[in-house]
Amino acid sequence: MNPLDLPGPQFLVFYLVLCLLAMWTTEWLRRRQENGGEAPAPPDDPYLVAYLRGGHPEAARVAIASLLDRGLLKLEPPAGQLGRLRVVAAGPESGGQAQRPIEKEILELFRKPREAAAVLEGWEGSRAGEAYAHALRRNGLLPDARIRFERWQRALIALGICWGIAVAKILVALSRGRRNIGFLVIMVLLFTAVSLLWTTRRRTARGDRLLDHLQRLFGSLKDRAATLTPGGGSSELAWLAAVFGLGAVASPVFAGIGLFQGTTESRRQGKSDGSSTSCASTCGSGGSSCGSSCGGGCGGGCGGCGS
Amino acid sequence: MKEPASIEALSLPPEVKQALRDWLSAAEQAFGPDLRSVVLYGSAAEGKLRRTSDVNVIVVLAAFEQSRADRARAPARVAQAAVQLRPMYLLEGEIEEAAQVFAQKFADLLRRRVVLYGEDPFAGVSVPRDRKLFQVKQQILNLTLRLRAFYVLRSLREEQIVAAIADAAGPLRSCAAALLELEGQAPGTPKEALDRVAALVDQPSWRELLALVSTARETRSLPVGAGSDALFRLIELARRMYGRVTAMRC
Repeated sequence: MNPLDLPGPQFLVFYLVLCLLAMWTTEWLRRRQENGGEAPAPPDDPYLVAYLRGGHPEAARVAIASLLDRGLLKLEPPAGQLGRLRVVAAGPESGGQAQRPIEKEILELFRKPREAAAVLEGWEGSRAGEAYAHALRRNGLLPDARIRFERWQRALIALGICWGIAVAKILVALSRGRRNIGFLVIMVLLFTAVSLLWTTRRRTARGDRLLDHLQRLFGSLKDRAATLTPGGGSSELAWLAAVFGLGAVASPVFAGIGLFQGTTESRRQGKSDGSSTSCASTCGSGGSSCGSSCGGGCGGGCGGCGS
Repeated sequence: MKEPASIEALSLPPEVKQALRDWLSAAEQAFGPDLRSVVLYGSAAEGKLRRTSDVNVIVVLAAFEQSRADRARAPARVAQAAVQLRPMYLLEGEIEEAAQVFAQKFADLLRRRVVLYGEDPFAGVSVPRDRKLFQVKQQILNLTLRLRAFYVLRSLREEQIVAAIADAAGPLRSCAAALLELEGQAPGTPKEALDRVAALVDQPSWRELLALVSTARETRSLPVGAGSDALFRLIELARRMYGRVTAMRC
């Protein structure tokens, strides 16, 4: 039986099943090809994990938060005007106390007081970021050129099949004087959008697996978020922020300097956690009053989200 | 002689087992031939670890070399952040002396321990009764004084009392266990020991008090208004435990 001869509703069901099958197959192939080999070993660098989770801006945000916690960066009120708190290196020797390249780069960027969010928006060409990207690609945690090519190859085959059948059906329908092709067009567009979204995913399946593993490993740290002591000498804050996003850190300070802005992962994390980001964004948008008012007003809310 | 236990066989949450496995493997590589034994002790060894508990381990070494210790740093910080792993680094030759200096800690360690690597370094170790008695006294008195100061300075702030009660629970429980042991009784777990000691020291409504202590420890919160009374009664309980220890003889 020729599926193109099926009546409209039955053809739509057939087409839906076909699209789902195509998506499932491409996803299954992706996972099989990207998830091979032994389970990746957990890294000992929290910024690498932050990079894996949200790219270079996220690694930089976590590094700024960690350096503030360690006292190598400090906050400075805006001089003589209303505005957001600015970040500056605590002293000329701060750079020498930092060990990781990304920390040194950030301390260099903040030799003079600057707004963290503004600096992060325009920051490009980080050598430390490049090194992280390279290491993650080498370990199959982020897609390299080969993986990206294979993803597009699979997606184009699946899209070719689905588009081909849809176009053929539309031509058949038009030739028979039918004009009710709206649902089919919507399905084609939806399938195309989902396929493109899946093809351009940031992480490989192996990267997702490592992140899942780390989120389980550090699960109790998230429970302890509200009890972490600032400057406690451990790397708990850096790991908490790296693995779960700054939204999990129960500190209004990071919202006050706009570190939450643009953190899609933090936003997602916040939503699933009961919404620390709503607090963060409220604080972040508060401008100058934020630094002080959030200290009291938002503190409770953020604490609640983190725990 | 205790044989090394498999981490898999321990009654611990999966993420703690994973963190212990990763850290132990890194410690073996870092310390190499200097690593003699690794011993897990406390609530983790008992299989009664809570999500807020520390994971206590003693690493017994032949020598503490800087280059080897440097290699152990990053994995130790990861494990500390993930599961609150608290390693204590002890040289072989320091074991006997440490058992005397930290008599109470070692009494607990001798009761609740699992060897994870190497031979049991504490097989022949005993803690002298006089040292144990002295340290239990010292610890209970110290705790009493700290709690009094805390009560006066901070009990007007309800939320801060919870942390004090939660933090006092561990030392108080281990003191209770040591106290029962000094009296020649089998202490059971430290939590059970404190239940039994509190029942005997005639603290009014001790069950309710200890339930609040457990709540503070496990959830870091208490019913509104319950904190300052609970803290005050905890101080009284500690004072009575001190009285009971001072009545003992070496």
